[in-house]
Amino acid sequence: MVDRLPLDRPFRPAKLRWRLVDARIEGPDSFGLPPDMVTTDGGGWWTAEFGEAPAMTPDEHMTLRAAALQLRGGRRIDVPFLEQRPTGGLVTAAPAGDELSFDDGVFIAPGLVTAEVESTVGLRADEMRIRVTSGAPLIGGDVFSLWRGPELGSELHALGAVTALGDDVWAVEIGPQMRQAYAPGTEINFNDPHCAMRLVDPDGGLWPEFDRGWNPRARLRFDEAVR
Amino acid sequence: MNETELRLLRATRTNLAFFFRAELPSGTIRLYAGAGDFPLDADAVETEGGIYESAGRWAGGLPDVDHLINGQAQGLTLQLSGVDVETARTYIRERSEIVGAPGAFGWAVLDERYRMAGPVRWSLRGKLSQPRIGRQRSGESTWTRILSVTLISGAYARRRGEHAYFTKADQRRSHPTDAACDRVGLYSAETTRKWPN
Repeated sequence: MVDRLPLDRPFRPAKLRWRLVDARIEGPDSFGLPPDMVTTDGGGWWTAEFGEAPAMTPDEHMTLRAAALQLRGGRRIDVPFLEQRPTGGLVTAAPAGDELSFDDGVFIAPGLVTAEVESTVGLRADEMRIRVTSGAPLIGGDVFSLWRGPELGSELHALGAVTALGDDVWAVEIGPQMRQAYAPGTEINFNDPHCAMRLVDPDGGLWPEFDRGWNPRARLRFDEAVR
Repeated sequence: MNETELRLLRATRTNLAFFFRAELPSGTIRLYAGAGDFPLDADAVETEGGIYESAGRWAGGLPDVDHLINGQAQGLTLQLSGVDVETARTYIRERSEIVGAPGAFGWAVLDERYRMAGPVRWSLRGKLSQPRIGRQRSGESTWTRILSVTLISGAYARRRGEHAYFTKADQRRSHPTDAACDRVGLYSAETTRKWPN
């Protein structure tokens, strides 16, 4: 069973960085031209870096220690994407301008989206059709996750180009590639996307040096667990 | 190679995919060196078509794969690192069925959106040998467990005839009037023959 982070008590990272990375082999530079580069992973995988998490108080120490002990064996864990769709904090829509957003870009309608897979998506697909049953329209850069079951957890994807097809159906380009096939009607989670990952802790960032006089910080890095 | 593949390979950024297939008595193993699983259609080597399972990432350089002609052989050692204890145990327990099983190593060109731009080129086909488990120290207190197997291809049989020249007698047996090999006896064993001789 894949659990969700936080396992026990929440970390409070000051920095958060999600990245889609490639396995690369780079060739030599030649006269100022960009070096030749070969990628070998067919679309990349997610990494998440939680930086600058305070590790000052005993409670923070214990939170980190509990996480470190539970994750060190390569346990699969659903990591939250944590970035909310901009909602503006309003619950009901108010008509204004283009009826989507205030002039500062904050969305008027609540960001909550209920959506499902419209037509079958194959393994390694990089485009799909999404039916939005309620909520704000889809925008490029939106992030969603699909539930692969209790053994595998969630898979995370982001939207590239988005085209409205009418009738609440959207054709979207996604990245990275689908990790498995999904049938029409599968629920798509735009509101609290997660990604099944494993802790990467090469330099022991979860075990920071605790010191009363300073302000110790912990750093966690997760890599997508594709299998 | 088709035009699209050639164009993609000439670009400064190329996306490649690597596949490994082994036919063990207990079932076929299909591995893909990349993120996520990779479905492949049936072809000459992959006769059924199937899903190649993600087996970690390719980090090092690309392997040299020679085009084998005229009795040459090549061994390509494939490694899988970061393997858990259970997999390693199973691997060693079943090593007897790994040795001699037919295996193939192939690659394909992917386009800008990581889709297949051409067929898989199974550049190395042969038999598996030397299943091995190793450990590599990757940090102060970190050891990485590595599984490796060697894929040998080409003229890999261990028994091979001694080098021999086609003698006068051999030639006369099939072509009684042909004198092409009459002077072979003048060669000494240490002499390297220049081509054309």
